Amino acid sequence: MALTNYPPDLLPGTLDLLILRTLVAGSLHGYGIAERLKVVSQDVLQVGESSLYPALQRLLLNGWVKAEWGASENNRRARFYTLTAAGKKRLSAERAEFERLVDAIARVLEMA
Amino acid sequence: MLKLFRRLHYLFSQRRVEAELAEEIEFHRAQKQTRLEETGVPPAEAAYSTCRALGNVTLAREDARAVWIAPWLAGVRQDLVYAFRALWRQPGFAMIAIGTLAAAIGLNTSLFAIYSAFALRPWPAVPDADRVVTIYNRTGAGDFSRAAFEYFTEHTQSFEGLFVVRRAGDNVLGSGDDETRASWVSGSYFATLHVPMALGRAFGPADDRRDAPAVVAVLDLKIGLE
Repeated sequence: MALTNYPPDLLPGTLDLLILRTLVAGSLHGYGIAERLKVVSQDVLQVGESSLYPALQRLLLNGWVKAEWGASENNRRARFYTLTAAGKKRLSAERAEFERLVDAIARVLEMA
Repeated sequence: MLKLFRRLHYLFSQRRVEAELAEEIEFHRAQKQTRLEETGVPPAEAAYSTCRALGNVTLAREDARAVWIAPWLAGVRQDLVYAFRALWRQPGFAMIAIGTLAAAIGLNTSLFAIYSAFALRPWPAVPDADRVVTIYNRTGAGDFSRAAFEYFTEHTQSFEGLFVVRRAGDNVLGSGDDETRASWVSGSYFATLHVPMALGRAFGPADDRRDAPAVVAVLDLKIGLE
């Protein structure tokens, strides 16, 4: 079991990375993104509205996702987010950056 | 650049965008509640999670708004609206204050405009007139010897070109109404100032030499055509 539930903005900008990656598989609405993150991370990453929606707005501002209204599974009106081409580029850039960071942390932890 | 356009677009449709965001968050919350009820949580607890979520919602909306408009900017706008409303309610005071400011600023501006039209006249023939500087010699008689001028011309690294002007006293041509002033200048004058000639040729470095064949005068177009 996890020590505690980490908010995804532990490392700044990580939430953006996670959202972009989640949208690679297809368009999702906000709740869908939060659910997918929760399920895939086995309940470790739980994103609340107060972090998720500002992050989505930030992604919209930068043009990495676009949003459209559509019908959800239970026929309610919801806004679906889709990854743009710029978003895909940003995803690979941020992923590389993140892995670099993780390597650096690992190296520090492994040091003699 | 694109980001700026998106921000401006947000500014213009702010009310609609915020309403949409509220609807979106409400959908999210409703889904969460449905899910909680599905997993057997009693409706009271589901309602409690709703109440707890309200604080989240406000925070979410404020943070989302802060993404588009810097919070300090939104504060400025609020202050301006408030100030305008307050002044509107006190027209007498507003009129006196605005009138005083307008008079003071207007007077200052007109005075300066008049001054600059006379004293800071632009130099129409010369492109980049603001790059022309005057160098004074503060020793001796205050002028430069020919040798000094030639030395500077050869060795300068800060200036595109140098020329000397001699404002001697008796340079008046014509008489009476046709009087006009002339100046003695070095051959580099027109070349350095990048002034093109309308007819004929300008001075050149060749005219500087003591044994130059002729005395060359360049007439300003206004004079020449009369």
